[in-house]
Amino acid sequence: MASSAANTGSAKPLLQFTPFSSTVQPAFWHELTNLKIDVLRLSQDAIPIHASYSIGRAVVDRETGMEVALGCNLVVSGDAFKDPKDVKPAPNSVTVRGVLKNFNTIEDFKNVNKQEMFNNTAKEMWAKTLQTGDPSHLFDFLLITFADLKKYKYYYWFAFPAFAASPPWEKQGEWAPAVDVVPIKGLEAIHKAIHSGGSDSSIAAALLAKPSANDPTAYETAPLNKFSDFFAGTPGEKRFVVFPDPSAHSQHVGWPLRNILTYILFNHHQTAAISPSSPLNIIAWRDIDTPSSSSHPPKSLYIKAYVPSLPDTSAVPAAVGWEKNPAGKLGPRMADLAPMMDPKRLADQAVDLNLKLMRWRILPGLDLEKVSGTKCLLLGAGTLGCYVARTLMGWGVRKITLVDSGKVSFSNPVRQPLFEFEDCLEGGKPKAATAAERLKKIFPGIDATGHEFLIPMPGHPIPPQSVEQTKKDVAQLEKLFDEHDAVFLLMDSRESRWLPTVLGAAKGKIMINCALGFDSYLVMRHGARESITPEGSTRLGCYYCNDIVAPADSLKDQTLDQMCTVTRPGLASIASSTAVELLVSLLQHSKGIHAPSPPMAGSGGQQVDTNSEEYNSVLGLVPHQMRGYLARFNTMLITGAAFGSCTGCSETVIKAYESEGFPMLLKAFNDIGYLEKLTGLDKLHSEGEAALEAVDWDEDDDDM
Amino acid sequence: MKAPSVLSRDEFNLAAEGFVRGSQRGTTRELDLRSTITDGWSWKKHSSFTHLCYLHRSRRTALVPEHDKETEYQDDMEDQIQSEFDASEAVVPELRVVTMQQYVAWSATYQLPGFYFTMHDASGTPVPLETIYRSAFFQKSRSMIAPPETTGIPAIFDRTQRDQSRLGGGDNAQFPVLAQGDHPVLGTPCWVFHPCETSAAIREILDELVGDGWTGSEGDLVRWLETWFMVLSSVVDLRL
Ligand SMILES: [Zn+2]
Repeated sequence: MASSAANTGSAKPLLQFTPFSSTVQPAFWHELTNLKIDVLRLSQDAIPIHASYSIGRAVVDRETGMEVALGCNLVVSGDAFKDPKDVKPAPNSVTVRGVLKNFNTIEDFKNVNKQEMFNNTAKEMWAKTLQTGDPSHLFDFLLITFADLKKYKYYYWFAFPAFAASPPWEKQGEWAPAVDVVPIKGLEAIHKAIHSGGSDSSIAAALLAKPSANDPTAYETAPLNKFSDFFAGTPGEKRFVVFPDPSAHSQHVGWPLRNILTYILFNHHQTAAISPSSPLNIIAWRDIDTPSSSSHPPKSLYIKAYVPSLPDTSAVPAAVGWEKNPAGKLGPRMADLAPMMDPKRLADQAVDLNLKLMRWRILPGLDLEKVSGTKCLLLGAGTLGCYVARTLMGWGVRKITLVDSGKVSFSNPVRQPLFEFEDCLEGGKPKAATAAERLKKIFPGIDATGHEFLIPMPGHPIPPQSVEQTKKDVAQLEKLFDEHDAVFLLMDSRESRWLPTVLGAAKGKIMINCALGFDSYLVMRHGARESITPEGSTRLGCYYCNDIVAPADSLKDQTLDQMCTVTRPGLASIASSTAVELLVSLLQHSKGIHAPSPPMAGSGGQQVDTNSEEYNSVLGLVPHQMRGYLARFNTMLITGAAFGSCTGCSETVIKAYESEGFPMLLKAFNDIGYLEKLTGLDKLHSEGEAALEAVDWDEDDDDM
Repeated sequence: MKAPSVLSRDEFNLAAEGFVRGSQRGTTRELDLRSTITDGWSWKKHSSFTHLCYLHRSRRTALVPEHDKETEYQDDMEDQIQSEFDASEAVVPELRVVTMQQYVAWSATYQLPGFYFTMHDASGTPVPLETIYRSAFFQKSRSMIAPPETTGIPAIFDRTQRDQSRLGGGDNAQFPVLAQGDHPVLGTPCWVFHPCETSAAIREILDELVGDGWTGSEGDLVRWLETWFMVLSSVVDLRL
């Protein structure tokens, strides 16, 4: 009742404008970078640039079916620094000029008096346009930037000065279809004029239209600065001001109209004679295609606008127009181009993409994050260590730590792909650290480190003066185990695998073991320790279990030189790749470390379906052991159960280590008979002597 | 003669120039391509090697809100400007808009035009791949995903689904595959649809349209390129 009357009476029907929102194309930042490096250097001079805006577009959200107006965009492209005359403007766009000021430091950027800069820009626009009557600088803008070229980050802030009318413009009614007041033939004429009227632009920023004196359905047009001449003698209701509208919003038009109206008000107020009783006809041009009643119904809008009273046309009106940031605050914006420009980021993305494509194209179920998130500890940075590290990188593994006590020797580089001749000079660089550095060179995104220390071995007594050092080394190794998820045993002696085997079992790590003969290799995973093995599942053996229970028949005829340093050169990469792929298959299996190994063919007589889900990850089987023979180019899958008296993984050994700690290990290192007594293996020995001798898988390194 | 399944660089240049001229004139086409697909393309030339050319246009769309990400701002600078209330400023909530730079350039490897693109937000920051395939440009491809189990990856990125759709004989039978590559003229990193799978589809369509009547005239070449756009638009929404 009274309130609604009050509303309509007091709320002024203000004409409102959608501010420009900037869109910067990445090419602009590339050009700014080049300009800064090659031309500007430390200069902070203002540079002329240009930008463009187009007729606003709305997109239909196909999910909701609603039309969404895309905002009132001003686009700055890679051509911004060129003279607009040398650039072919984008179709349906208005080119506008601006000034760029780039600051050398973030402090300069922050501290510059922005209000003063803005006011100066507005004053210049006023002087160039509203004092001379030439409207070509009506849409000038200001851009301040700071380019952090080390981080590929660009801080920037746009200002689109608009002169604020006081009192503000008001409207009569709401925006309505222009076709209600201008016949389709008139709209066609206007469309044609807009498209032929730009100087540097592909369309005119504003124009005037009136019905032709001879044919009221035909329309005549003129540029904006002809307002007084063109409209002299034309009654107010037949004068139309048309501008391509960058807004697609149904009730708000774009920012450029503000300065167009100011221009008319200040430069042509006598002809215009704008007042509530003599409003101005405005057409917000929104047609991209020639309007036609059949194929392209006109979309342009129309309204009558006026100022309630004429402002003082001798005073410069205040200007507004700093762009808000996406948080809706008056503040700068930031572009982060590191993903495009930083070579490290590019390498990172390329590695990930390769793997993602593998997943997307072939194996949708592949959990890549699980692989890349697995922290890998490589004990040994020789031939096997180098190849394992490279294959892990191929899978996107980001953390690789290497341990080796050796230095790079002259025989290494040809077989060990992470070393070069230079690494062998002056006694050789430490292998682990050198390999880690090389990994980072190959792919900077990797977190690789190398540690140089010796892994103590049972049966290799520690001299009293070295006990402290050994204790430290063991503590270091224990810490490394705690920090990693998977451990690769890639050392050059059988005994050095014992301590890691015990640690791996005690700490429940994934243990992948790899050893080479002359033309045969073993790749295996260790089973979990007994205390964590789920009930009902067969516990798989470790490297030492298999000394005893290894299927002797397949190996009897193999002669492996225990001191062997000679292997066929292709063997190490085959074995290493197999080892990494075994880890990845294990990681993809739902039971992980407890994944069952496929039963061996012929064992127990009954057929087992190894295609069943039980045995397979998305990548297939997760065998316990693989033994490969280059002489026959075949690989055998072997499943071996754990041995209850194993010196490496039996609960007796692990519990002794857990309860006694380093002193127990020291006993094992110093006393040759200790482990066999502990496990009761000495009793078995007399029976099993032959079997124990028969198996020996070993020795990766070439330079022993 | 039947229509070719590949185009030489010169043929591509002719076709593209004719295509741009036609789209500017608004020529009626034989193929029913929506004008929004053919609109706004410009023909760009390498600054020194002028036979290296490509089509370019820029297209924007609003981002699906769930993938809005706040970027960092320099908050300490916000109070430098007094925010005076401006009654004439319309308060319109800002949409997250992504811009897709679309390029059609000739690939020497495939002897075919390839569709190259980059996507960035208003600041010029490239958007991650996840945002790309959740943008409206790929809405159509997204809808082809079987809802359960799948990781939400559109069929264009997924060979298994692609193969299924081909077996099904749907109209999206020929899916190009997305890859990362360099723009053949600009040398900048881009996303690209591998053109290898498009040529069979184009040939099939053109065989039906022109049969043995292919002469290799500019008109034929433009028609060839329009067919290429038609095949492409089954994957990327070019009407946006
Ligand atoms: Zn064992």
